[in-house]
Amino acid sequence: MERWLTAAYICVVVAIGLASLWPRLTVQFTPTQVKNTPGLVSPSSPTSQALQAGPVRPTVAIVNLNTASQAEIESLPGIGPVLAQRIIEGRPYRSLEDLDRVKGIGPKLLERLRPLVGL
Amino acid sequence: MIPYALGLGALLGALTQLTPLAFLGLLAGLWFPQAARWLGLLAYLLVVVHLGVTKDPWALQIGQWVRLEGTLREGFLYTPQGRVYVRYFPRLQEGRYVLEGHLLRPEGRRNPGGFDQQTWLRGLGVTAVFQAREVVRFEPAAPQTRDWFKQQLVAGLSPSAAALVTALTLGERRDLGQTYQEFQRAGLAHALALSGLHVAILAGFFVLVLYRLGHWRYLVTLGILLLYLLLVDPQPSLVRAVIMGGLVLLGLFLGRGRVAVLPALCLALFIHLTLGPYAIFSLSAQLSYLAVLGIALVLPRLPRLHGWQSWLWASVSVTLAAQVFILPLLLHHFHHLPLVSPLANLMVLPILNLLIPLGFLKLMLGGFLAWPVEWLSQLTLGLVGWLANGPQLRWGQISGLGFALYFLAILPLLAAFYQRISWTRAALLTATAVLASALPQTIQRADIWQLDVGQGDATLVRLPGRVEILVDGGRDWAYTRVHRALRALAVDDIDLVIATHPDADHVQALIHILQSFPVHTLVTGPRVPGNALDDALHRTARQRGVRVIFARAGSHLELAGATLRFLGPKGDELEDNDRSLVFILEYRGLKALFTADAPQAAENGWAAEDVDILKVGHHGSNTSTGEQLLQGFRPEVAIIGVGNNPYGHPTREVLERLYRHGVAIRRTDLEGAIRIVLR
Repeated sequence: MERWLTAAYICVVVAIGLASLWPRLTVQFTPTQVKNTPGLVSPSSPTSQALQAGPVRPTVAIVNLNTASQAEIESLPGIGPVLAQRIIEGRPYRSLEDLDRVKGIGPKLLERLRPLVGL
Repeated sequence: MIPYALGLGALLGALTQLTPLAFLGLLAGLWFPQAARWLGLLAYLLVVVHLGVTKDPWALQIGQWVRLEGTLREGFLYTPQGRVYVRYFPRLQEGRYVLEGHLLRPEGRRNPGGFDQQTWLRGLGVTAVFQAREVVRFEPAAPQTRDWFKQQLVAGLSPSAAALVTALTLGERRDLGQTYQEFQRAGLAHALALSGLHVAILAGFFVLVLYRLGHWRYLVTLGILLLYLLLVDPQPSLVRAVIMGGLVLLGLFLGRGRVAVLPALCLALFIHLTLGPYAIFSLSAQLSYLAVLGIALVLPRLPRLHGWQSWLWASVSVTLAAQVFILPLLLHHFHHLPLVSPLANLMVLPILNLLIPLGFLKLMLGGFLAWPVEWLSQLTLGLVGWLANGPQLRWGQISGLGFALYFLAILPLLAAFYQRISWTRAALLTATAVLASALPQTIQRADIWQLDVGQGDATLVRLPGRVEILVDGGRDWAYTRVHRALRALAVDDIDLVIATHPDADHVQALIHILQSFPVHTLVTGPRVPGNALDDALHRTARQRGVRVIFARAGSHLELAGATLRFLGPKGDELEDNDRSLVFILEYRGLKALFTADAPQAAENGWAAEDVDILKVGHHGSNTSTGEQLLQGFRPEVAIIGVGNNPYGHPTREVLERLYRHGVAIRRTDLEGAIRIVLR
């Protein structure tokens, strides 16, 4: 009796196992019906990080405008080789506002650079 | 018992990196005899002390702008301070460098099934990534012994054969390209990892050749094995094999006879982890140790056959025994198991058993052996290419519980093999574990995955009954990410693909998806004459026999209990972004609004209704997500698909508007892939 029960039990388990495997082995589509006629997540208070404009970048040390190398200045967002060269030519800087007089750096770019550069 | 105690102690010591609770495992030591107990504790302490005194050489410089000098090899810069992984575009050639750039921490996994740089580097004992910006100085590497050997090896061979033989003898897989994936699909990737096979062939060869040296030949062979380890990249699987081979050779040298596999494996684990406790995170080490454990435990207990069958059975049973413990790892990391694997091993391994020693000989003899090596390589490549088309068992990622259930299921069977419990009881116990693992499948949840494809959009909607909807796919280069995420989420066919508008950051990857996944229906907006991407998309759909539905404002689709109602476009727009397909997905009373890149002018024309989720338009650009949209639709959660971009997305204005309306903000650049469960 016990042997039969065991055998039956194993058969059932194997069948369930195979049944759960079946969809993984076959491609089955659910047809899409076309009808043409002309609690979820609780709203948490967004962290300050989520409200930071612009794409997230790895946190790196602040770039010193008076001593940084050309390559280091180029690593700033929105600054290419030409602008980096002009920044170096415009040295020394006494305040961040001095950057404004570099040709090609407008108020918008200055705002983006403000948290990333220092003196 | 001593080797087991040492192995267990070292393993527990290494596991303290994951959780300090690992010391509880020391309780298992109570089963060991007195002497072994103390040695096990000693091994544990050795590893823990090693971990305690190892300092992260880069800890103080993370985030700094640094100038590093060192030798670049295989993507790593070797400096006096330590080893660091270098990121630079384009790829740097090998040599001596002075580089400038930022030192960063490695990135973790950003998508389901995505590449986990952090764990990969951790397994190699590397803790920092060097984002190089400038090459200050470069000298090409002086030719090394390694290069001389490599030239000897590839002399007179065709490129494909040269790549294969280089991988097989020196472990450099870089030139293999597509062939590596073919080996994986045929279940033969293990042959490309330098491991026991190579060590056995090398050791056997030299022990035979040096028989005149008497028992000293074992020591000389051991020296040659260590030289080989220096010549090639020390992959963890090879380190494991060399330690085990070394133990066997030492045993023979001392006249103690052959060391048994299981104690040698435990001793190797002890030595390996004492030298480098981080190896426990390396997938190569995990697979290597568990495969040998399977062979050591299962193989001797399998029935033996006689005559010609024994030869067949020997090969098949080794393959099966090796996979007993690594099966869930293989499925979890590679998402497929080649069902032809035993057959493939039966057919290809004998050829490799010839090819590997020939490769070693060719290292010395050069072009002399080109003809047989070329011929055997082509035979191998042909067979592997054919076997790679075999059927695969697909599987998504496996949870920690899944792993536990798997090992619980095989434990009773092992106990029965060793006659500790009866087969009936073992079968019952195993069956319960199998049953328990099948239970979660009866409860299926619907969810939305916003995948991290950098600056672009890719959203997967999974509905119960294995129904999947993919909305956009990101750029060309993001295809690998989407592909791996789909595989990890156990998606093997897609019921509905929605291409919102023919912009590269939305549909480029979809073209590859259509080519490599079975797709039932493609939904696009009205055709855009003369747009290359739109043409390519529709051409691919036609080639693959995918049904295409053209949707516009007013269209209405239903599948698996979900409805899609389209709010736009009207069909007379001229700009690409204006043409965006906009729709509300409704499932069990929950609504999600997908707006693609539609501008504010279009938003103002949509009939307002309350929604729960808003897929923010145009990656958070100020041209979308206007005041009127937020007032009309009142979403609770906003998802933003955004990555590194020069436009400053997401913009301050959009983020502030969302904040003012009390909408929770989720960003892929912050969190990686985002999952929202539809309950």
